[in-house]
Amino acid sequence: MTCSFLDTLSDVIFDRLTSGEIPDDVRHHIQQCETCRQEVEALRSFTALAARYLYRVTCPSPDTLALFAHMPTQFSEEEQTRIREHLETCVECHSEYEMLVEMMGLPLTLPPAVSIGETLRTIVARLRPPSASHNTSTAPMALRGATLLPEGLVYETEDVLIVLDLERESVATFSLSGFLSSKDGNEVAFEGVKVHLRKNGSVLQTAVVDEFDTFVFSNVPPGTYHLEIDCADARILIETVEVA
Amino acid sequence: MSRKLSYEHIDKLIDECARQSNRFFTDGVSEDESCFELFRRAIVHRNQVAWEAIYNQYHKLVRYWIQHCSSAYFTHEDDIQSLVNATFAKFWHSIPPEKFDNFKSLRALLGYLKLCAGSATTDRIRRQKYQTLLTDLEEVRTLPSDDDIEQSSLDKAAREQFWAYIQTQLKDEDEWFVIYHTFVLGWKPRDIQKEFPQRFPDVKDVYRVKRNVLDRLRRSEGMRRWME
Ligand SMILES: [Zn+2]
Ligand SMILES: [Zn+2]
Repeated sequence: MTCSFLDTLSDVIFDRLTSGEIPDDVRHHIQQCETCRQEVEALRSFTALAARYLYRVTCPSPDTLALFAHMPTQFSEEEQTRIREHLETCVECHSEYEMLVEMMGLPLTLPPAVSIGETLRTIVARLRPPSASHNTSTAPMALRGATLLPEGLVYETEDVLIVLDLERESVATFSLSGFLSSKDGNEVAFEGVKVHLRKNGSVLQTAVVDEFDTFVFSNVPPGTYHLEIDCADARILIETVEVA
Repeated sequence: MSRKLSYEHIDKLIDECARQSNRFFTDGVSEDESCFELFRRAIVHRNQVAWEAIYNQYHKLVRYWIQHCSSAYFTHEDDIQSLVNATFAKFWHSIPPEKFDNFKSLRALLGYLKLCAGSATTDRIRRQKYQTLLTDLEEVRTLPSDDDIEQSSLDKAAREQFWAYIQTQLKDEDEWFVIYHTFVLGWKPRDIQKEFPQRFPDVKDVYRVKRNVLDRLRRSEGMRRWME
């Protein structure tokens, strides 16, 4: 049994036989006609096979390309020439390579975060690792009750401890409050210090630390934020605050 | 590395490494020894606490490398986080204890960590495009695992053989261009036409060439051994 139906299809429609969007009349014929059904089946398994075998088959592996971007001299002259020639002809590898060269040129330390042109030095507060929070006898844990505080929300700089607390206000908003204390236990007045809640670089809310060294932001929708605390001698940055 | 550090309590090392890293951040100088010792314990002794401390200390740095360079490909938080994890996993798996001595400084270790970030990111870019290609072919599968750099369980030699065979079946440069860009790079006919307007003035030219080749290849005797 032969059927020439497939031959009557335009090249564009023929191409669609290997993808999802087949016109109804074509689909209808294929469902009815065993010969065409088998032909299409064969065509599809061939294209799937070819994609699986051939995808990026001639390209240097990610490891090779990364190392080449980092230190081309790790490769022999001959290999270097081969990779360079490939980069000239392969658009995909070329753009990966450009991304890699940029990454390999980045420093091995974090750059100073969000500089807004002031001369204040910026300190990034780190999330205190859970193990270290246990042996802390400083005020916030005691004040708020360690059991109520998720351990992950204690941040610290060399001098300052910051405890963040998140509470759901409504279906769509949270209140984010914080408590500041100095790590050496000395009385340091944080009252009046400004705290900025930022998202994507812009300030959404500013709170002022009260006489109890706490601050609070209300009506905060879920999202990822930065916190900036403008202390007298430094700006403390908490790079990522997840509100969810 | 000073000998005394190899006896230091791990908690002290972790604190000291964090302190030194902060100093580096603020004054541009730091002592690397405690951080280096953490890496040594993590890799040589497979010490889990040291490894976690390294993650805590450096995950932001890794995230910064990835985010800074791959925003054209990845913007979702989940993707970035999973790339950070893939980077650490790759680093961990690619330095067996006996290889640690190849690294003479913290700089060398962090440089290698960055290399892992680059490789993991490139790998992910490819797998994401491959996934799109398969989806277009109605061959939706789950993403191959992170270890599976070659995006399938097929070995490299078999894939190269297949490509060598396909090339023997192509009659001219036009066919080679269409098949190479369709299957090796995963492009659509329209992308191919746009990139080579001289060769293919109309997208229909690409469709025509592709159809001819597919018709020939799927009927070819030599294809049988791969089709089973
Ligand atoms: Zn038919
Ligand atoms: Zn390539």
